[in-house]
Parts: sequence; structure tokens; C-alpha cells
Amino acid sequence: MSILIALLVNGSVFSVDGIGRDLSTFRTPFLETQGIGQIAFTLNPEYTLLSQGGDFRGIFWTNPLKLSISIPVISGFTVMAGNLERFDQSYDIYLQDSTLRIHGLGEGAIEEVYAGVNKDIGPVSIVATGSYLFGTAWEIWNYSISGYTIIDTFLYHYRGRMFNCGLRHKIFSVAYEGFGEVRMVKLEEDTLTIDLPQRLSIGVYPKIGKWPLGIVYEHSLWNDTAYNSPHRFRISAHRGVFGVACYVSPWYIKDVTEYGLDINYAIPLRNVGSAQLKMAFTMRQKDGLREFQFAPKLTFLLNELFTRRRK
Amino acid sequence: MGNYRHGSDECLARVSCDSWVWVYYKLDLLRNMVMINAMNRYIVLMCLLLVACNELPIGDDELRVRGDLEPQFLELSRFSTFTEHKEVNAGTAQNLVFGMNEEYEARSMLSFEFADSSYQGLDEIKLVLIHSSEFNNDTIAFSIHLMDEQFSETEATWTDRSIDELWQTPGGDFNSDSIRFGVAEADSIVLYFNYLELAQIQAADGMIIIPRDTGFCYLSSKEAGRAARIELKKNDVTIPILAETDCYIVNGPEPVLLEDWIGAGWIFRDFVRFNYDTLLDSSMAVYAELSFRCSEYFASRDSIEIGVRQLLEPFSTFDTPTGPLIALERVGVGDTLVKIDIVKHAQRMIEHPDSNFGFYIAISPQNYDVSRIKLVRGSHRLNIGYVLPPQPR
Repeated sequence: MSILIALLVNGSVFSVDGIGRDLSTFRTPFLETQGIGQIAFTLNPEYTLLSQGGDFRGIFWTNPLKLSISIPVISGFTVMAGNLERFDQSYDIYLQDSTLRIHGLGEGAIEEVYAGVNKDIGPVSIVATGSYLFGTAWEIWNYSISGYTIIDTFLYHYRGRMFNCGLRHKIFSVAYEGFGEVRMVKLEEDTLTIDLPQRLSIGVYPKIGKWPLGIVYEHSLWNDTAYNSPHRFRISAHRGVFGVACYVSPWYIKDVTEYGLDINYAIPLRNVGSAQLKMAFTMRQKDGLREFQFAPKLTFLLNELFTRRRK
Repeated sequence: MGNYRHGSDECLARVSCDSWVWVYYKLDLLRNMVMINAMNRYIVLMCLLLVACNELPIGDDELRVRGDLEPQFLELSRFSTFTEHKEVNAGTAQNLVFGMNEEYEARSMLSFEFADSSYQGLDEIKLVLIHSSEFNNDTIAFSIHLMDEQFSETEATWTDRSIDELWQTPGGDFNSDSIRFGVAEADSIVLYFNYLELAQIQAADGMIIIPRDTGFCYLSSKEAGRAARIELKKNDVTIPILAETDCYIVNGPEPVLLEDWIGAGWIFRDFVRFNYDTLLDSSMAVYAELSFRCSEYFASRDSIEIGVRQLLEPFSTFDTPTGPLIALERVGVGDTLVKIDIVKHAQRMIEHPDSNFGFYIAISPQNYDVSRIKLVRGSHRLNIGYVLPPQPR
């Protein structure tokens, strides 16, 4: 049963702190492709390998299916909607302290559904989205000592909101995310409202030789002083169907730093769209603890379905 | 943990469960068979990547961000212990018992419903009593007497024949002349009767089995599915008549003031209460072990189950309301130390320190047999292991 649960959830060992792993880093509200209708399905399993002091522990996780859709309504005006996972609260950690053994297992996330509009004015795209945050997460702490076992559980319900806006030109972009909050209801306890961080993303997109680059700086600003307000950097390049990106992304949880390398390959599907295969390698580090994550991500992009239907 | 080293390519797979060693071994064999030297280490690496099978405490410091989680241990001081006794009906018991020694005497009572008031042409009339094989039954003599008064199966005790009527003589009102003598031995007791005796049995309000020797004998009751029966045989056809009612009654010793006993049949419960310690405030019990020592056993079986129930109100009488069983532990007869997990009781005590009314230790089920254990006075201990619970997010 525990194996089944482990296969159905995803997570990071660092997700036990704060409100979990922020999955929205470097995410901007801009459309990938302008002016066409598009539906994208994304599958994103993960394999995580923990390393500390020469010991290793592996965990295989899966993520929920993601869906996004964008529909051009009139020339230069596109509406879009989709779902995402915002903060992942899953983890699976064992603790051994002399006679006491604790197994902490968390599952769940703060999910997000969003809707927005994109307006193209010449070479400039202006985008605005609003998100509804929701979700349920639970934690089971299993204590074992001298052959006796006792279980403690936590249950959380989330409701919240977030707003995004941005402006993008061919060679630069700026995006702002703010006015976000999430209300957490703990079982048998009072409601707690958490202010989500404001976030500013600035990107420049020069072209060096035949390689279009993307350089993104992101600053996440938390009101809560218990958390960091990290600065993040990401650089990417692509040519044809290949793409590569690397980034440094300190977490809002103190002392946790994440480094990542993404490799993309897009397979054109004639008259349909494309299948994008991304292999994401991530290393998270906190003191002597390292977490390596290998996450193949498969996205099916279906283009211009609505246009064809009209024909 | 398992380690496997292959000498030729110096590839070391340090993995954390034996299945890894098995996987690696199989892969090594495969390599030798098909000579896939170059691929070998990558296959092992892929296996390591794709399968998770260990529970090493890696990253355990991350759990500690939610709390200290250091286990602490505490022994609660004892407030009081004493023994309570009550004479309780055994009509629902799985066994019938008859026997006696210096302290106890037990008698079994049966009654039958006959379809006909008179039977003709019977070849054989016999009463069959089946021994309960779980017990070490003694070979003892007994006599069977017909009852002068009716009894209530679910209310009769040594002193009462029903809830509001006493026996004229404690221990049952029966004809002093026995209808049959016998010796309890082998797997079952079979007693033969004639027509005249059958008529007496039919006219009586039941029968009672009186022990005549020291020792105890256990029979299966109808609750155990193997009731005593009268078999009437006619022309090779046997008509079984199962006992309509059966129960046993016991007389035993009064508890000694400064001794702690638990007992079944003639029931003793040991009350114990420990003082709550405020160190436990807001903590979570992860371990609570109630222990006590035993000095004397009186039992006809090899092991006994001891149960613990929590009092829901301050102790007043034997019948002070209790909750359901919070722990049940089987101990071997002769064990000198008994340890029982009562972590749920400890947790309730922490959450509701005002409801720390103590608990009963008793043999369970309390009417299963006639047995008794003497507990060493002052040996009760309650050790609690606790942690401060993790903070929610």
C-alpha cells in the first residue's frame, strides 16, 4: 500500500517546510505561440534521489496531468485557461532517533486554475490572468517505538487567488504576479491566511549567431520574514527542435538552493502540433543533504483545432 | 543493507536492501552470458534510478523543522491499587466448569426441553458432555442431581437463582440424592439412563453437576457450539436433545485487603491509577507500557489473556463504567512479568488529564474459566515515551 501511495504522489524532502515546493518559479503568463489556438497536455513523472553522507534513497513520483488551452477570439486577442500545480506539499521522510522511528508522509498540493487574456499590439503582447487556488493536503506521521506504533495526522484545505500581468516584446519581457493569498483551514483549528509572494520577472531575448537566447531574472518577495525573498536566474537557448536551459533558483525556504538543467526536444506531428520531450535534471541542496531529481516531461501540443473545425 | 562488488570492472553498487544485491547478481550473470560488458554498469544505474526500495532516514533533519521530535521518557508515580470483587453470572461463557479446591467450588447446571413427555421403545438413553480441550482437565469424580428449582441461565450465580430470587441453599437447590455418579476423564463424559430416570429428568427443573474430588473439569457450552446433549436411540436412529440452558456457578475467596488479584469465574479486577505529570502537557504519547509482576497463578490452561479498561468516572464500585478494552495481552501461565501497551490510554490521559480516573486490569473474558493471578503489590509501573508533536504547516 505504501508503495502505491508513493507512486501516486510527488514531492521533495524540503516540501515538509513552509507551504511546500514552489512549482511556479520562472513561470510567466505569456503564450508560447502567438495567434493560434492550442491545447497542451503535460505528463510529468519524477524520480528523486536523496543523498546524505554516502547514503542514497530513491523515490519515484508522478504528477497530475496538466492541461492548458488558448483560443484566438479575434485578431490579436486570445483567451486562455488551464490548470497547474502551484505548491507541492508531498514528501516521504524517515527519521530514526535511537528507539524512536518516525515516518512522515505528506501528499497534496495547492492547485491552480487560471484564465486570462492576451492582446497583441504590433510586436508587443500584453497579458493578464487571474487564478483560483484550491487544494487539499494531508500528512501522516507514523511513530514506532519498541514495537508500538501510533499515528498522527494533519489535514489542510486551501482556497486562494493570484493575479498576473505582463508585457512582452521580441527582445524583452516583464511580468508581475501579486495580490495573491491563500487561506489554509487546518483540521479543528483556526483559519490561517498566507500572503503569497509578489514576483517580478524580467527577461531579455537576444540572438547570438543562430542561437536565440532567453535570460530571465526573477525576484520573489515574501512579506513573511520567516521566508527568503530569493533572486533567481535562468538562461536558455534553442535551435530548431532542440533547446537547453539552466537555472539557479534559491527557495523561499531558508538555506535551500536549487540548480537545474533542462533539455528539450520537440517532435513535429504533421497537421496536429508537436510532442515536446523535456528532461529536467535538478539538484537541491541544504547543508549536507542533496536531492537529485530526474523528471521527464512529455507535452502534446495540438494546434489550430478550432480553426480547422471552422473550415 | 547489502554490498556487492564485482572485481573485474570495479563497479560497486552500495544499495540499501537485499533485493538490490539480487538484481545486481542476476545482471552479472546475464552479462557473463551475453557479454554485454559495456552496457552492464548503465543497466545497473538505470535500475538504481527507477526503483526505490529503502527506508533510510535521509533528510530526517527536514522533519525536525516541524518540531523537536526527541523522544522523552517518564515513569508516572502510582496513586493507588486495590482489588475489587463481584459475583457475576456465567451464562454466556464458552465453557462449563465443575470442580473444587481449598478456595473454590464450581458447579455446572443444565436443563433440556423434550419434545415428547413420554418416549416409548427406546434402545438407549444417554447424556453426553464434551470436554473443552483447551484446558488441562483433572480426572475427578462427580455426581449429577436433579434441580428442585428453576434457574435463569443469564442471571444465576452461587447465591442467586435469578436476579431477584435467592437459592434456598447457596450453590443451588437440588435433590440430595444423586441421579448418577461418574468420573470425568477422556474427551467426553457419557452417562446412561433408564426410562425411570429419563422421566425424572423430564419432570425436574434441570440438573446440576457437583464435584466430589479436588480438581477442575471444563466442558463445552452451547455458546461454544458443542452443547451437552441427551441422545435417545431407537431402532438405530438417534434423537439428540441439546441443552436448552447451561451455565456454571462459582464460590470463591474474598479478596485480601492488601493483595492485588485478577480473576475469572469468581471475578477479581485490579484497579490502578497513576498520577498525571504536567511534563506531559501538550505532548504526544508514542509509547506507554504498563507493567506488573505476577507471583501466583491458579489456572487450568497454559495462557491467559489480560485486558485493560479505562474508567470513565471516578471509582465508586466494581461496576464503575468503563470504556472498551484498550489493550489485550496474552501471557503464559507462570510468567512473572507482564507488559501491556496502553499508549491510547496514555494519550487520552494527556488530552484529558481531568479524566484520569485510572483503569481496571482483568482477565478477559471474565467468565471464560475459573482462574486467578496474584499481582505483586507495588510492582505496577507506567512508563511513557512521548514527543512534542510536530507543528502543523
